[in-house]
Amino acid sequence: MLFARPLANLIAQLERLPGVGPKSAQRLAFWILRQPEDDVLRLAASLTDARSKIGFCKRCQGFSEAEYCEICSDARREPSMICVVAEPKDVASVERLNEFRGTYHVLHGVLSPLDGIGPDQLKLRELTHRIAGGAVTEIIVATNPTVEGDTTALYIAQLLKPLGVRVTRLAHGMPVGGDLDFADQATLLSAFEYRREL
Amino acid sequence: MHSVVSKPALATIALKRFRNYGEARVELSPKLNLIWGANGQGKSNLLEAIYLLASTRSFRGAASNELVQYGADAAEVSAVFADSGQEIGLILPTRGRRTARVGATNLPRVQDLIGRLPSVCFSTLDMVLVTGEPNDRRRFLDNDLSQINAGYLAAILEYRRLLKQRNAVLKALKEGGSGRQDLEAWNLRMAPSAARVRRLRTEYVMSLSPFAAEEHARLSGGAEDLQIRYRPGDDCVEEKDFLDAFRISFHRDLILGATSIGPHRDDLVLELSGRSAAKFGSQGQQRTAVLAVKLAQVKHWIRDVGVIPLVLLDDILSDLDSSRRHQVLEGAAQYGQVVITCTDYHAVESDFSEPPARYKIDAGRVIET
Ligand SMILES: Nc1ncnc2c1ncn2[C@@H]1O[C@H](COP(=O)(O)OP(=O)(O)OP(=O)(O)O)[C@@H](O)[C@H]1O
Ligand SMILES: [Mg+2]
Ligand SMILES: [Zn+2]
Repeated sequence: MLFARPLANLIAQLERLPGVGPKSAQRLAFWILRQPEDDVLRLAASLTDARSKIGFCKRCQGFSEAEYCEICSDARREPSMICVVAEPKDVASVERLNEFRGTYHVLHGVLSPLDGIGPDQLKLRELTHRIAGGAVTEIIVATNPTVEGDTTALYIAQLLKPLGVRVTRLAHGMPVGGDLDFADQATLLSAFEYRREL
Repeated sequence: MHSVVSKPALATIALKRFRNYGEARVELSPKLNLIWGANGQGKSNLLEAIYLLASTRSFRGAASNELVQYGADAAEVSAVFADSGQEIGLILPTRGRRTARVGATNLPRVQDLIGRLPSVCFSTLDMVLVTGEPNDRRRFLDNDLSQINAGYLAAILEYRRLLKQRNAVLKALKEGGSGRQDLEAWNLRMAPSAARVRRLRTEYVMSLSPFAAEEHARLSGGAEDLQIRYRPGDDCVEEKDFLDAFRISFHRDLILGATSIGPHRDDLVLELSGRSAAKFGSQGQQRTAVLAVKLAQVKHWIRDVGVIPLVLLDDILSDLDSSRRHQVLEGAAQYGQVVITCTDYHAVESDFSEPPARYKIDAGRVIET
């Protein structure tokens, strides 16, 4: 079946979203076309607004409206310790603990060659630059305990150890194959306490 | 040797829209159960359903959509344990994800069902243990070990994932992809996983081997001896051996675009008096050897794990002579719950020392006889 060009266009754009196949793309497109025009304009505006105002924090690569995010601009945060996480949402998980006083680095993914994700697709060069500044003494890798999360941690250790920083990994009590998001606060706390050297 | 022996027998098995069954429920005896009927009526289908609950896999290697009754959207298989009254179930849709449950609670992953219903299944298809490819024999080891050892299941799933990831790096490098300095990190992560899988499989075959020899001597009257051996495809044992080998094999692997070292290249060897059963065994000898390995599995469960498994025998009686039939049934009767299929009860009636619970299958319907 052929759709009018603007509709076909919309479907094609939606299909590019992660986890959205041709069928869901169609369903979403039809739904959008059935909404009041104002609602759709608001949706479109929020897309372009967010995209134009939010960027990567110059230091930690997390999403930020300012050049530096709130955490990176907070003078009380310890710059010598960096907690490396896979996704922006993981920063929130660790922050909720009120335990870690250092700063973060967001990789925006983990190594997964099957999905075409190698070191170049992650914010690793930015991490190496931060280390090269010389102020950092310890890196805590808090990727999920999956094979991809583990391998990413090992890669980081190899990359940074020659630069003379201590690289540790959260290990203790994390549910295997688990998600940092789901890890309850107590296990995550003990994971920090018992982090191990890589 | 284990002193505590548990015996998880099933009280009922229920099928919905599974293969040629619309809806069926069978109350099983805790001992011998005989499923009989003409060809193509659904005997193996019933056994297949039970084994699905044990291993989440079809012993015939069928995909989920083949298991759903023609025209239906999903099949459902469930069973109730005799002693605990606990129910386990598996829903198999023609498309989309399968779900497993214990009682009314869905399990996070289907694989979490594995290990709850220890069972050993033996069908004519198991002849691939001798006649098949190394891959068939690895699947045999993986299926069994996963049921026995939850740690093994995690290890083999992890290893398979790592292998795919490492191969993807090799492929990217082969196609001239740059920026793939991550191969070494994958080597580092994969080495302990490879060592673990190989060690657990080797240990399993080592503990199975004396039982297999014993069962074979009993079945064959001691004419030949059966030896089973795990044969690694390379000589790595420890994590560091694998790490070195992964590094050394880099150039070869790059040309292959695949990993040449590791337990995914291993094999299981069956030998009769020192000679390969696959190459030199007669059909009868091969059949006896496979039967002995299967009975050894049951013994291993009982002696080393401390669990009497549910034994499923699909259509194997017709292939055996009367004395072996008797020996198998005798052996099985001493164990726990057994479910056997055959085409004609009357032809094997005299081989049973006590009459089994009998169910006749007629075009997907169960008739108790
Ligand atoms: N998805 C399905 N839906 C409906 N019927 C099916 C499906 N898959 C297989 N069948 C039917 O199931 C029957 C085969 O059942 P099964 O393999 O259990 O036979 P059997 O009783 O073991 O026979 P035999 O004695 O020949 O081994 C066939 O008639 C086949 O058409
Ligand atoms: Mg059959
Ligand atoms: Zn920041």
